[in-house]
Amino acid sequence: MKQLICISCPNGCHLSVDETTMEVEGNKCPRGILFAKQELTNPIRTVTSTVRTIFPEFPVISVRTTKDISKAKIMPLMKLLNTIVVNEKLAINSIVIQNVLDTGADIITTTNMIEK
Amino acid sequence: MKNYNTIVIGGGPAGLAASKCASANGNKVLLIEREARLGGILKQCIHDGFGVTRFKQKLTGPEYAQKEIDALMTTDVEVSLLTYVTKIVPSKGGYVLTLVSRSGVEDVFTNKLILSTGCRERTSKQVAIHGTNPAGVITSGTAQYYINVLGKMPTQNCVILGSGDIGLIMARRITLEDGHVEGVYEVKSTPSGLTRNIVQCLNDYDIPLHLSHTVTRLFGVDRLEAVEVAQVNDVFTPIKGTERIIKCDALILSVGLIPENELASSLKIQLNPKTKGPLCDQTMMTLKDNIYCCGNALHVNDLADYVSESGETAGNHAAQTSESHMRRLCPVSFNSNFGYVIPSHIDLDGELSNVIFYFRSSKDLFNQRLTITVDDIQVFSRAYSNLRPPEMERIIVNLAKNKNCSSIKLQLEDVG
Amino acid sequence: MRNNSFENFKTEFEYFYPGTTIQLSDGCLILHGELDTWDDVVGAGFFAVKFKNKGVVNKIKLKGFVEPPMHISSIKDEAYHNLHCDVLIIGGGIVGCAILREFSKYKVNAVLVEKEEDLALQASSRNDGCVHIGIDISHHTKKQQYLARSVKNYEKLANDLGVEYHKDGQTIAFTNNKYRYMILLMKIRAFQNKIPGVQYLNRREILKLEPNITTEAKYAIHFPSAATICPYNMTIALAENAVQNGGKVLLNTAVLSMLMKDHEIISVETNRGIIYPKVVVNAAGVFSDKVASMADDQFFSIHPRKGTNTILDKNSRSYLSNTSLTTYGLAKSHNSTHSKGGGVVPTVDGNILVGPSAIETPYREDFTTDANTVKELFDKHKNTMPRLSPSDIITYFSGVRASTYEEDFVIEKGRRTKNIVHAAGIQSPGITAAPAIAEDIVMFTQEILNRKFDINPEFNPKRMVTPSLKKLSSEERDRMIKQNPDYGQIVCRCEEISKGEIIDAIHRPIPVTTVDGIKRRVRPGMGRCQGAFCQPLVMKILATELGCEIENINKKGEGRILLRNTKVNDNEKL
Repeated sequence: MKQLICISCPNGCHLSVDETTMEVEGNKCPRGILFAKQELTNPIRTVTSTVRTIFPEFPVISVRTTKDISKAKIMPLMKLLNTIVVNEKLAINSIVIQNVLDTGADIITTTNMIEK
Repeated sequence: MKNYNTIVIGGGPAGLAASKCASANGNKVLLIEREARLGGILKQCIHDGFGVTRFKQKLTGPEYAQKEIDALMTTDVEVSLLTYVTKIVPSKGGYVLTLVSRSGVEDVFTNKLILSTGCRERTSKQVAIHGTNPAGVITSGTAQYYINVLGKMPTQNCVILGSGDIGLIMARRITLEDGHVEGVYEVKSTPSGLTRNIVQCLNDYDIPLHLSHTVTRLFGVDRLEAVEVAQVNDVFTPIKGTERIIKCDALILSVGLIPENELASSLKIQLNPKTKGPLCDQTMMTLKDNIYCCGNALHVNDLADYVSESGETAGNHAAQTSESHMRRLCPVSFNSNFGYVIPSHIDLDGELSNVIFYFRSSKDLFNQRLTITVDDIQVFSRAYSNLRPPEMERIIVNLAKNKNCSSIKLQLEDVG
Repeated sequence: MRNNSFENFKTEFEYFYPGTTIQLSDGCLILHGELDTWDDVVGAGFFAVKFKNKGVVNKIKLKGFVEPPMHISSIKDEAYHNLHCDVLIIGGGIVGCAILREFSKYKVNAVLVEKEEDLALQASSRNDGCVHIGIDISHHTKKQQYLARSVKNYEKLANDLGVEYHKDGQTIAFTNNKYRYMILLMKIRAFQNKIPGVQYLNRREILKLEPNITTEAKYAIHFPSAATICPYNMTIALAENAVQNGGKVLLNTAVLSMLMKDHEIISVETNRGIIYPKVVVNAAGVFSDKVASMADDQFFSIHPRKGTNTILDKNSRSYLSNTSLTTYGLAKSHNSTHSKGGGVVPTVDGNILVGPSAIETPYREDFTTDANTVKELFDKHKNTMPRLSPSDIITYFSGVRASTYEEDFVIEKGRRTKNIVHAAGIQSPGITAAPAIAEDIVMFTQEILNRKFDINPEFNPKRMVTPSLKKLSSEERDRMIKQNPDYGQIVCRCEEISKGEIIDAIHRPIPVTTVDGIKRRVRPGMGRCQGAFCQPLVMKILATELGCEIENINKKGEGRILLRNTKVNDNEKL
């Protein structure tokens, strides 16, 4: 039996998973079951970070992955983001890198750089 | 002098929602913000988890803020940025505010006020950290600003004091930016932040959490060189002999948030000693007529979603309620298993069908039943398997049948 | 006869302090040896004072104690190499700065060197800011004499320099009849020291003056002429006015050694080159005995005495009705040491200061605080005003007093060395006494150089400084903002300080390069949030105004706040 805490929402349900049958207990909603199965096979996470820009009013701009990526790719992603420099003023949710590190997730901005 | 129906002070998520709602029915609203951009603290909260209930999405702070700003821009609310309220004086029919901005000093008049001034972080001096006074001791919010807004690292190897959410978030953030977190130290015997943050910020990165510990002393004259940590007993006093010195270049503090209520105090608005925010009724109106309070200024929230909700409540009522509405306030009492309950009063002549109560337990509790009794008759009941002080709860109660009650009591009790 | 009595004293001394020897040299008592505790070392010094002498030099070592190196900048260059001047003032505290300003009234080439990156970093910024009336000082002392001369014109000096001066008054309360003798003593002293307007209050009158005072207070003496200022702003103001009038201030410049010849200082070695002064003024605070020793003119020793103060939130200010308050004979107070002034003190910025404590220490620069000391001093002084609560404390700090064993100022020309003047061993009431001390230092310097200085016809006693905008009327404030919109952009929201005020502070005559330097001058970071919101903004402004990268802006000294950029590639790593 593996004990997990679900991170899908603020509830943080304490889950118990039978590793052989993959039966999940303790979840308050179906997302818990999905989470438990994923966590035991290929743990995934959203990653939020920043990338540099050339603009002095935005020394860095916040970015995120468009979906969860494999935990193992987090640190390589961080290294890749270190090399990015945004050189145009982007609207919120603009794509900075498509299908980053072959994860199927894009890197998009999460702060609006365009003054209205 | 410019006249407004409602002035909202503070353009973070609470103020954004409040001013949008307050502008309904043709009400003239001014939103005052001291920074250069709206969004409040969300601008620097680049992690996700915002909007799960409000937008059914897991947004980052800036994305959540942008949604609220976009919604506000569809209204006629007047926004004044880089503006600071220096004084509020009661005046016939309302209040006169003195505003200072790059254009000068200006007085404006309003019938109603909504205070959405957010909160500040507890400082090292307020948790009795002694020793030297070097560079390298900062609160996690300031660290967050340096890293996420200025793109600079204030540390390479740090100790974090306090397991509140911001501290946990920063533990992960620092690690992702190639910094090292030696450990998170928490004075209580249970963590202060959301459980999921313990998982995704500490466990994911093998950052140890030391409960029942605190930082007692700092070393290093110009820049921090080390901290002394010690175990604490059940009244949080350091235990002699358990001291340990940890080399580090920064101490990041996440030891609690304090609602900002200087303006409220200057208006002699009664504060709730448990929350440090104003006492209020179910419409978010404080005990002073026509002054509302919402968001973290009212009480420290865990979720931006509830912050926005409290702003909407305040704004809606400011738009709909007559200035001369006379309230009939009934106090709300609660037993000691509650840390606090908001609101502290119910206006029996106000909106009663959807009264939202927010509460925190006073300690970790299991298998509880929450009951609400009005004049000793039970009107609400719910079971909770687990309640923790860091995780605020919310319930909606219909009190429409209780317009003439004289006591409202909330009880949390063990089930069997 | 005298030698005999010294021999007797020597025997007595070496009996009480085995492991030490004492010798008489040029009328001074020199103590040597080693003792086990610091209390003993200090005790030996005090013991030696009992024998009539011209000074106690205590070289007794504390067993196992290694004195840490003096805190100085890591800068090492020749920036001031071969600098020649008439007067070299060592020490940028209030006394050194007052002396520099006094010299600037004359056509004298005066230079002040300060080892830290800013002025007033030691005792001058670590005290309660009281402008004393001298009730607890014997009128035979230099402390009292210089205080009495200074207080006459202190308010005018503060006004000229644009430094806030609050005549809050001082009240000393007593709990019972036992203390009638103290009131009598104080009456005598008040008369001897010519303190004006002294009032004697009964319980009813005390309550009218201070409604929140302890119920135990039965009688009180009230001195309406006592005042408070901001001591570090006074120090900086004195120096800025001095620089405006031709004086020079060299920061990050520490005196390391002196070259002597025929009882004269030929040159002074600093970390920034060798300076050639005609006269050296020793205003080096806790290091003034070491400077004297460098100049082969040591006839006193400093035994550092540490004091801690607490600052309370402005909300608690309303409990106090404008007077600094101490009470003797409180039921709950511990034994003892009569606190050297202080008590519950209103600051000019609207806070309350509670303290100080007093403890002997071998560490000259120990500015650390500790929980026990804060608790003790707060508990002791809070009994004067029970409404005060430890949860009101927003910050605490420590300072170290430069006390000699004679517990008095050393204001005199060198005894052996021809071209040194000492303004040394300054502890309370140094803040008050500084102006008069400066006058005498100039006089002594003239005597040494055997000439009368020409007056500086350009000397302007007034310092122009940006007012605190939040204290102006709406109209005045509006006018200033319309001329410079930066005055309308609030950067520190706890203390209501504008960008314009911060920029002005950066460009004042003494260079400001640190966050703490700005904090001392215009207060961002001194409010409830202690800089959490404004520190980054102040750093941005400093970086812009000084034309450097934000990561080169330090909090204090060489204490960096930001270590590197985020997004560091492998090849950019530290």
